[in-house]
Amino acid sequence: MGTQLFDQLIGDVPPSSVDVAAIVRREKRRSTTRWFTGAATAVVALSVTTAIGLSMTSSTGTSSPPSAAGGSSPAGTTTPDTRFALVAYSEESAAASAKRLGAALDAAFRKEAPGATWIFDPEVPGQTGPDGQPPKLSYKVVDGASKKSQELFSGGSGVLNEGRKGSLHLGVNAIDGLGEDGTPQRKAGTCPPSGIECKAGTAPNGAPTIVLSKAFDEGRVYTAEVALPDGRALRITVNNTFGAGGDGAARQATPLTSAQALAIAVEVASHIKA
Amino acid sequence: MERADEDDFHAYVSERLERWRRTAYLLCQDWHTADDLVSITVTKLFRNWRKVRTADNRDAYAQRVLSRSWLDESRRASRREWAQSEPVEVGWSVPDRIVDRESLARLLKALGPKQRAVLVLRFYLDYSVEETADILRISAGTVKSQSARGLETLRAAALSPGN
Repeated sequence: MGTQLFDQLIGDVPPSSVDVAAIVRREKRRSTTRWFTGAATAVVALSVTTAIGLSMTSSTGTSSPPSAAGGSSPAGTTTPDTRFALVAYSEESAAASAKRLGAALDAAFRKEAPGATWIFDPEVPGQTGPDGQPPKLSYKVVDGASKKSQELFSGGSGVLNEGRKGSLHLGVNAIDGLGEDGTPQRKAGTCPPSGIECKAGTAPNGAPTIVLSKAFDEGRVYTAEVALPDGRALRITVNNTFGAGGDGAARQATPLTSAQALAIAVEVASHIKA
Repeated sequence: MERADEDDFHAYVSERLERWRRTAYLLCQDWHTADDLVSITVTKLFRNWRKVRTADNRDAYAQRVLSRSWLDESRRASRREWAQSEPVEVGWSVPDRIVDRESLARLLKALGPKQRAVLVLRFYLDYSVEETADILRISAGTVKSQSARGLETLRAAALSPGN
């Protein structure tokens, strides 16, 4: 009875702007880039939740004592402490932190993967090209009461190394120690309890690290994670999907090795203080 | 997702895309928003495809995702406009009769998002009271009361000259 009237209301249907293929490509990339983070982004640290100075620490405030991931200057030297805090209590502080974090990532990338270059990948959110531009990290402003699990700083880029294409993603989770469903999650730098291939280690400065590996039917992904001084984690994820090529085809090796992913994560983390 | 699953997903979506677009348009009456809602729905279905494909009623599952995406969007829009966060389920004033699409459009626009969804699900998509209640997570009684008003209106429209 009413269907005809509803159809009249609908009238002429314009061409669809729903791009199913693009949605599938994006979601496949998401699943390979963030398979590990996902809903369990929260790296727990129930014991350190309140100690996290993220929301209230000033990047220009008083210096902090040496921290686990912060490294320390060699004895007898007067090398200035160039480390920075990741702060996101305001738009300005978050933007400044993201910029410094991005610069640290670019420097670490050049140091640990000297033959590799950033390349524009239209499938990576936030990238605008052209080739050669380091990732522009995005950020979220949070307040001290936030309990929501989320990536506070994140971004990525396509990567080319010796003919191999893929992408690299950096993520730093927010301050909370709870997952999105309210359940406690694991501590930063510790292997998850599930059967994911995981190798635990320790950074030169003593910070716990892990490297997770996973092979999909169409891809390979590595995630290197380093515990930050405040209980959060910094993750570098490298995969072998690039652009629309993420929808199948024969897969090649990732542009960076898992060891390089870990080295970059450790290097970037060494510049961050609590 | 395995290749076979992905093929199954594409086939399923392509068969229903236009129906979802039309439904979404009835809910929001704007084609840009409608396509956004459908895109969100397709994304959610892809993410949960293994669960969807084994669901007892995949179409009801998909419709639930679409309807809830619409309700979520309407709540966000409402907050943006500093209106009430949850549309009040007020009784509507049934027009004397609906004689054309403009009358129906005005009627739908005058309703809260959830009321609008009830009408679309019941009278456009022919879902039962129970199915509509399940999709919208409201009681069957609420669906019945709102459906009765809608049915009365649509009957008036169907019996009116020119239809």
